[in-house]
Amino acid sequence: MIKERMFKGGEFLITDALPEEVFSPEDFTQEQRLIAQSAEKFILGEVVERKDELEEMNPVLLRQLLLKAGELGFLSADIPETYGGAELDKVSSSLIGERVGQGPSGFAISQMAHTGIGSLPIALFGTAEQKKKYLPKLASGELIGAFALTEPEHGSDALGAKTTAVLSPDGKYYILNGQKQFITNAGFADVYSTYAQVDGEKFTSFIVERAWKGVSLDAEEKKMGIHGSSTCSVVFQDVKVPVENVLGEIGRGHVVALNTLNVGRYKIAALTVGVAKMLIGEAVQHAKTRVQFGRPICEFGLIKQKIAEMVVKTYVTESMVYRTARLLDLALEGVDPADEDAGRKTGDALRSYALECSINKIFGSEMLGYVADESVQIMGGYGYIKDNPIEGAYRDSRIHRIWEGTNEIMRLVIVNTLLRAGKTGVLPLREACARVKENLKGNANEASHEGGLLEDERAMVARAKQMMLLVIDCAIKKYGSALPNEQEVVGLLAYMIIEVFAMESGLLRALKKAMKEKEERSIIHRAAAQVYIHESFPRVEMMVKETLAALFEGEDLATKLTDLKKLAQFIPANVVALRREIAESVIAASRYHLTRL
Amino acid sequence: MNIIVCVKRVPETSEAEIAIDKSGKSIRAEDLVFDINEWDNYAVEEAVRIKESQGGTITVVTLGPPESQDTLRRSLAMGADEAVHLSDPALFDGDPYATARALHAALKDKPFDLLLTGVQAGDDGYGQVGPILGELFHVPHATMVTKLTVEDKKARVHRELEGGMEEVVSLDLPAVLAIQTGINEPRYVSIMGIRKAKSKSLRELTCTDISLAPEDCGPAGSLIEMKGLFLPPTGKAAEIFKGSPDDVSIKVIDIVKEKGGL
Amino acid sequence: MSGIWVLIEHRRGEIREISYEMLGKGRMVSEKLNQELSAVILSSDAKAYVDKVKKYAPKILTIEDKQLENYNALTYQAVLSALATEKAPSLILMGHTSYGMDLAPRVSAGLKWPLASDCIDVEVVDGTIEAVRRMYSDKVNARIGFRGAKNSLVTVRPGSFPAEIEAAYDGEVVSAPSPLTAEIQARKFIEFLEAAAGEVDITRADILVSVGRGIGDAENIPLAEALAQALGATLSCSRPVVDKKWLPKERQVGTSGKTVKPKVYIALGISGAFQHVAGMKNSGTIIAVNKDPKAPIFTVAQYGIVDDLLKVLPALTEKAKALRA
Repeated sequence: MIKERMFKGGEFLITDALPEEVFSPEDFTQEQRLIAQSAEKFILGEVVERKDELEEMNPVLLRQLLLKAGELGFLSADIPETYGGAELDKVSSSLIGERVGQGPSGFAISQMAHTGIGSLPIALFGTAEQKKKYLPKLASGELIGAFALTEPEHGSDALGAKTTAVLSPDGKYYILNGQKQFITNAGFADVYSTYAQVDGEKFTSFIVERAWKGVSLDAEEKKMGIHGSSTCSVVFQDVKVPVENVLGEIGRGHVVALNTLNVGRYKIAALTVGVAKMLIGEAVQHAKTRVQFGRPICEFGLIKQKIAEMVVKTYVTESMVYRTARLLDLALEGVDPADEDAGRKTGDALRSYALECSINKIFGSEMLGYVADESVQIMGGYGYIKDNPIEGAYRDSRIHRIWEGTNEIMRLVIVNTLLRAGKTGVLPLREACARVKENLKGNANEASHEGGLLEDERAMVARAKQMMLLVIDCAIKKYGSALPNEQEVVGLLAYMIIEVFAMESGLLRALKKAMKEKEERSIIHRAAAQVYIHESFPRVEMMVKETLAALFEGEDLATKLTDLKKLAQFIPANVVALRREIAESVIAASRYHLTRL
Repeated sequence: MNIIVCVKRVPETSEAEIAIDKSGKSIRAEDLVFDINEWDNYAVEEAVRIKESQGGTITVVTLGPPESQDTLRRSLAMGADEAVHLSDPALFDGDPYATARALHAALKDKPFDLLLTGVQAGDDGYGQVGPILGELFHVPHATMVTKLTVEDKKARVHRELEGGMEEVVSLDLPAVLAIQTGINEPRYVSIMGIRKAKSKSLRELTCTDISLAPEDCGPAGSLIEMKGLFLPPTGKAAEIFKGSPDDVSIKVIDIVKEKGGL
Repeated sequence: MSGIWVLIEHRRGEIREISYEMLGKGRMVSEKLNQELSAVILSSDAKAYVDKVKKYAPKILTIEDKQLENYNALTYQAVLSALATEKAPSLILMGHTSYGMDLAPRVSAGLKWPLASDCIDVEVVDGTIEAVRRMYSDKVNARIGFRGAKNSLVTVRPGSFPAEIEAAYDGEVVSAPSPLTAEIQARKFIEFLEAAAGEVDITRADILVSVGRGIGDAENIPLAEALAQALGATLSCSRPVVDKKWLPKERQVGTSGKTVKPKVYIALGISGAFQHVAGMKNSGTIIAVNKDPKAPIFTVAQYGIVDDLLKVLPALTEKAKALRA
């Protein structure tokens, strides 16, 4: 019997997984489903009801709602039970994040920042005393957390932060001076994890309380979107931080920051899935009632196409989010969150998954940009008018490609993580590339799955991986350790890696659905996977070509292109018809109905 | 106080498009959202409140397919103590009488002070199981309960009547009560509740376990039979105004002006 | 044995309207089956009721007992079941009301006679009785059979049949002794509670702006209020709005709320569930706004808008203001 497998980070690139080996929403346990439903009921009953009041930053209401959410356990998925937290697995916490995303963004962003980057540094890296002091109240929502890393001069190069921390003569305090910018929740947060240079070059993390003398806030930023959330600068002027509040080790603040960001990253993707489902519901409802030329516009082909595309991209993102969440859970199985050393162990366990987490963040944020944009388009003029949730969601969506690591940085992380894994032997990258070259020489036929479901698509995904491995191999050979400096090539490689993970995750999920239920119930899933793969595969080929053209010329290029041709053949499916089928099913259900709880 | 609450997992139909399936005897339910019957949720909440103020144990019972366990777990997470699942397919698709008989058979050796049901189920709306259980258990019952106080082995209830009126009725315990919506404000299910629910007992029972003969189970044991579903004839339909909100508003306000004597 | 029985429902000395609706239908069924129609009156004093229904059935069966003064499931069950066991009617019709819903299932289970509840029609097909009822938020009809049983019960949804006015019998009164020997203690009627007189009486309004579940959340209610104000109308609602405590019960229209007959009834985001419709269907003109084109409300309304009511409301309010300006 084929069982679940704990794939290493990036292993998907060199292995063709089987549906039984990966987790999909069809595998949710009863408990996970109940958690999702409970979160949804809370959001609908308490938060959506007050969406008008949450449109502009309303710290009183936000704190009230966060407290209610805390009481029910929705703020503490990543806080251990010993400290009053819910201590949930990552799948459950992603389900909560997704449902929270379906509600007003003012609350969603505040909750996300509080539970993710706001509480994680202490939950992961705090000493027993620090955890005891802060975690129970962060879990209940009595204290609100924020993550204060970014500075006016240091965004992406966060580790170059200029805030200084100087030890007091009596050795009891670090005196903090500096400014942090664009900090979410800062306007009403009580506790920050922040970062400063000790002795000018030892990047260190500290827990700072809002109430301390010398901590002040600048005015709220006037943002393009997510107006209901708080974003402002935090200024430290001779703030006395007790040495007991050093988080982690002196000079090792990057461990705290990067590991926190790593976990927070894939959570954004969970949120985007929630927002996307909400938008699809709104767009479809509108399309069903808006009558033009005597028919509801949902009957027109171009509208159906948009609806289908939104659904397909959401489906694929959702597949990746839960596949990744489960991988993280498997990797963390041996780690006791109440352990003194939990942070380091968690960091170690999750480091290799920085690749998958970054993929999630990029894909989710870009998917949401698309879904929000097309939702506005479907709403037509109404989508452009304020007071329409779609209009707000469009402006809200833009930030996700920027924060918690710009998508460009994320692409560098993907490739760097892969290269490192290959170099250290954690991932047998070289051998995999060699195998691909061998197969090409011998014209070996890939293993056929004997006419099973989505057989062509399985082959396409396998070949996409081979195309990508071929070109990665060439790029490494050409640039060696200087590859990271060739950012455009890195970007192309990242593109391929993302597409491969996306295609495969959608494929495996559809196959899992077909396995677990009657074949007819998986029609729309399979259609979605098919559409995505047939759209993505030629794009991967194009990226590979562009990369090869950047690496080679003349005869060499010609040879490589011949190799590529062998892998890039495919017969396009009738995606026009498939999209129609998907759209009609979603329209009949009036909502994104592919995930049953 | 020993309280039993009968719950049912039903599809949400008030906002969904409903279609009759090929058999002509049920609806296509794959894409519907399922949840605990709204009335039953109020009943569970009422039971939990009584337990919180007077102590006791709450047993929740359901008859249905494997997915019905979701509803049991949810009720456990709200505060019920143990759950019973009548999961034998032979018991499915029975009429209210057969269903009540199965519930009675499963519970007859379980003493209770109160047995609560919802007034009716949101899917079939028969509203019979509660009173039938009263008869089968030979205890007094009352339906349409909008307020419940328990004191000195008696239940004092308000029953909803037509026109906004209510009547006050007193019943000796043990009694069966069918709970009406709006009696309380059901609580949200918390993560802690869900966690505690995991370790609470959930028993599955078959026909044999409850000593119900095959001729008394499901359709065989039913007094009525559902011969077929059909779409209601489209009555004289309203004249639908089409156009932008502005266009339709002008037409509507004109009508209001004319007919409303403005 | 045979017979078509109609249990006359009464409260505080008044016969409820449903009784006359059932008498009309009962007469039709009795004619088709060639069985006698009887009106059954259980009360502490049957005289006043007898006079009111004499015209509508050839036979009036009465049982008087002090314990029948106010409806009580246990006393009524004991009396009705004894009478039914003796006379074995083919069909007993009761209202699907707070009384009927409470009584019929218990009688059915006690006698093991099939009960089809909340029915909108009773038909005779090839000499057997079949009932029609609604399911799944009233979106689907179901045909119910009684599996060959000789005796059955049906509770009738109020408003399904017109009240009987045509019959001109001179009903023969047959009174039977009460089978009750001891006082039934297990359930006792204590008292009636009038609906608390609120600050608003929606039954007196000429125009009602009524909101249902479709209003979405409490914070949208002011939008509806604005329209009501602009029209000089009164705000009312359906049951779910009161259950969620968005509006007080005094504003509820429906069987468990108030029955209204305004000149104009504007139903916003109300699906048209029967319990609500029962309370407003005699309004002069009904205009419905709902985003589901198949919502039952559109079969009751004369005019409709199929759209998101949150989009339409502001436009309606604006036009209303302009009108009265």
